[in-house]
Amino acid sequence: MADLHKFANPNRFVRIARAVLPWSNIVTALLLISGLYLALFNSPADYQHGQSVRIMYVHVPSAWMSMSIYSFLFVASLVALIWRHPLAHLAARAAAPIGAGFTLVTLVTGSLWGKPGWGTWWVWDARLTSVLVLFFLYLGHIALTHAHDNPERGAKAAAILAIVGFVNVPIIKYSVDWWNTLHQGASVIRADGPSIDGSMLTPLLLMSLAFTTYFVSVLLIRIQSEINARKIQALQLSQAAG
Amino acid sequence: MEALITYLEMDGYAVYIWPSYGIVALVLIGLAVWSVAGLRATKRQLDLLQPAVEARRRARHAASTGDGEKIAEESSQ
Amino acid sequence: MKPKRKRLYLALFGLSALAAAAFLVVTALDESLLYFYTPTQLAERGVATGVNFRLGGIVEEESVAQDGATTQFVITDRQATITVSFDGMLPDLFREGQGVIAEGTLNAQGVFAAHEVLAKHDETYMPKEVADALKEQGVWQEAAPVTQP
Repeated sequence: MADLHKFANPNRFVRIARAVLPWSNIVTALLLISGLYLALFNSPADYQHGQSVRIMYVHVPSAWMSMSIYSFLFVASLVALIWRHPLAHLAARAAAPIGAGFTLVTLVTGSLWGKPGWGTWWVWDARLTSVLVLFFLYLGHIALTHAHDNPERGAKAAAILAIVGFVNVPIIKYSVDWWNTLHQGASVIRADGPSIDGSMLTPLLLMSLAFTTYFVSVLLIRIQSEINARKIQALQLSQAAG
Repeated sequence: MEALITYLEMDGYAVYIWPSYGIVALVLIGLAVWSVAGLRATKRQLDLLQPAVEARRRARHAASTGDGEKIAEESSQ
Repeated sequence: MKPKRKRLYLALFGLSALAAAAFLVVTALDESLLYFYTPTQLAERGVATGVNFRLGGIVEEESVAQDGATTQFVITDRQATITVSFDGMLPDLFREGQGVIAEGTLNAQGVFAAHEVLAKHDETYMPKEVADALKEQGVWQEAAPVTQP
């Protein structure tokens, strides 16, 4: 953990964040432009879905983000509870709203894709239900970090929720294999290679990378705000004491 | 113009495709704007609070040591 | 024991207890988490007539027949088949050789009377030209059999 503690100093973290931020912003913009160009203008219609396959280029990356951000939340919460790393709680608190946003996008775009494809906006199959549970886990986490008068205890309760709720992530991933669902199986991460044509895989991966660097940018901004908020709190306390 | 309309219609899937990209734009831009605004707000508040607290600390220090020596200040943002 | 170490062991213990609990819950719920039954599962279990449930499988090739507003087709999982009748709007992706989920009841004649039909597509995405080329070369794989739990 020695390496992690190098970033324990908030001032050092802020210096690093400020150096990284312009680059992650530029990379996000470039990836988004090229990804959207391919997704909307320069990729073929699907042999089954027709043009509606274009929804996949935002739906699937959002779904991946919703799960990877939850995994980030899980790791940050473990680090916070076990090693008491000073930035871990702040990182978790900063990440949760971004994860909730991507989960909302996943649910709405999935519904908009389900109607023309399956013939229904929503069904209570194992995949759709477990993603809805993920959304509520994010909302619960956000509520807990804000509910307590004592921010330390709120952060602790939220960390425990994040760790307990992590069981849902493998359930989401494998729900389509374990149970009969309306939702189809995995297309990209599968043992026999992607079952998706290269002309469609490229925009899908570009959009995923764009969402990932977007997450890095917004996370860095939000962690800085959290650090500032802690400093304000400390200053107000010392002002009240002095 | 004709071609643009044909493109926007997306073979009849327009009502599903454009709202999908719309919600993505709404959520991603909304989160980014909200986060940047939050950072600016905390910075402003910090800039207001810090000089006040520093001044008080300096005054207290000067009173206790009897001279106005400067205190090494931690860089703070 | 250092407190840090103690917290680590506590967390590991908690996580394994949690994983065990989740495993038990998921196993217990297994049946009810099935969104649909395949014709084979149905044949094994047997369902009384008049009970509402969902049936999933592939629409058998050349089995779709239109009679006025009523559509008749056969759902297969390549092992067992069931005839379905439905009088409503079919989804865009309803096609022979493609996945489908029908909700309804078995009638006395052993026909599944559906009141809702949903298309279950597979996870293959490709442009039409590629699909046509694959079919031409004879390397086309028909819709994968519906996954067995």
